[in-house]
Amino acid sequence: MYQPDWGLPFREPYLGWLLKGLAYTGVLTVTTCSLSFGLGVVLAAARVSPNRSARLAATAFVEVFRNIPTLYWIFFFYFVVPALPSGDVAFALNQWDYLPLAAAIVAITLSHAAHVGEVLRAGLQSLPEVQRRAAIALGLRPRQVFWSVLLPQAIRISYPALGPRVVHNFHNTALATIATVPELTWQAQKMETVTFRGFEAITIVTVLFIAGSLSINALFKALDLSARRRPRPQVR
Amino acid sequence: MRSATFLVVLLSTFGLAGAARADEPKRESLADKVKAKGKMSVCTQNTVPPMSYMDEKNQVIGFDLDFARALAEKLGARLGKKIDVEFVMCDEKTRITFLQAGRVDLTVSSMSHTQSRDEAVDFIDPPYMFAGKSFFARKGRFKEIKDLVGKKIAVQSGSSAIAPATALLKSLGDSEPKVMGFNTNGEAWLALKQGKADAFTQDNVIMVALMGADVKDFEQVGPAYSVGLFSIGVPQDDSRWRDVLSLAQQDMMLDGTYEKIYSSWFGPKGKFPMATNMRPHLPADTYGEGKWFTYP
Repeated sequence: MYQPDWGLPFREPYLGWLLKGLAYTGVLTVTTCSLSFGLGVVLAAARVSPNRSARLAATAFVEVFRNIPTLYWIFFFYFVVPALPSGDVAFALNQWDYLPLAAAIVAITLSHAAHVGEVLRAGLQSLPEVQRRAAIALGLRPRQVFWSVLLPQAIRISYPALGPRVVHNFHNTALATIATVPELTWQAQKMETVTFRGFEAITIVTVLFIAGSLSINALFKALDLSARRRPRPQVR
Repeated sequence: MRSATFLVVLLSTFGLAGAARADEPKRESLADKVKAKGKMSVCTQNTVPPMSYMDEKNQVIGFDLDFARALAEKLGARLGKKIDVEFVMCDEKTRITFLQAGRVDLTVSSMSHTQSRDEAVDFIDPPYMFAGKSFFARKGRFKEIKDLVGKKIAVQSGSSAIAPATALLKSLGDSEPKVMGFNTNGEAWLALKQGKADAFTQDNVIMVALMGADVKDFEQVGPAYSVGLFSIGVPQDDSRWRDVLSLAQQDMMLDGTYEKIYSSWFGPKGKFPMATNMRPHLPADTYGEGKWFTYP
């Protein structure tokens, strides 16, 4: 019978490994979520823009990044992109210590931004038309209409849809192991290789991921509740 | 009805008593199960040239597979029944868990016999190949292993090289060796070629096959730092299975089958000629040249 050794993940050096992994996972999650939110807003704006080329560019981006799995994007940015430029540039890029982290962040951000952009676009399009007309009637310029009136409301009504997407992104950071980023799942694998106690390692990582997911869900629920308490737009 | 019940109870008591008097049942062994099935499941990999890898036609080939097939033949002779081989694909990370879970009967996948692995699984004596782990880097970059302190080392995740390489670099003064774990040997080799890593550590036999024609641009840095005794892996605590497999392996070494397979892969006319002798031979100065490591 397999006897689990539950003290193992809390002993050195394994505790140190897991904490390091947690730090990397945290960095990956926070940077990719914030960057992809910014990019997502830009994409959503471009998708509803009256400018045809902006719409086409954004649509192309979303289709490409949404339909190809994030795992492939990590392969692309870590293995393919550094091989594209000429010899010396390629070699210097490959030698860069932060290449794995950068490649993983770029891949996950672009992939996630496509989804965030779509969620925000749906939010924008579900706003009552009267909001836009009222803003214009008040004399606001189109740019102000979008950024000061429509977008904040779109974000607020998107919280319930954004929550699960952010949790999914948090899980996706585990894919960075492909690019040798030493985040949580990589550290669990390392523990398993050295101690053969994969069960304990994976259990701890699972618990941490569940805790993270629940926290993100709770955060978005709180955001949603605070948004609902604001005065709602009146449709007459 | 009462008497019928009494009769049943009486008869079954005798039956049980009879069973208790029977001899202590032999402990179940994989040797019996495999003989009954007529088939043995062998765990092997598919990204480790020359041991088990995919060729251009996407077929899995390698020394390990030829060895396993010959082993099945000799095992069948020992057990008195033809044994077929069923190959199950695993990787460095899953081969131990597959053995523990009973998903495979043995592994022939260039697995080095190490003390830490002994806690999880058992190994067949003698090893079937005497390899060694070394560092490989671009020609001319590093003169000895000490020069690798502070550099990035590529390794395959799950490899038994991770622990000794990290320990060696730490002992040479590297406080936090930068060991990058890749999913497959191919990716780790690509990382070395592209410059993502400064060195790659793996068993010498695997490295030579992986490098192929590029071997002229790369070289071994320093001597082999860790012994790699490739052995057949089996689940824990199954003496009879271990014994019969060891005997089958020794049969192979003594009747020339092993030598045939070895020469076709590593001999001078083989696919990957190796100057180092990796055959399981006894020390030449004590027993003479070419004496196989077998038990009389």
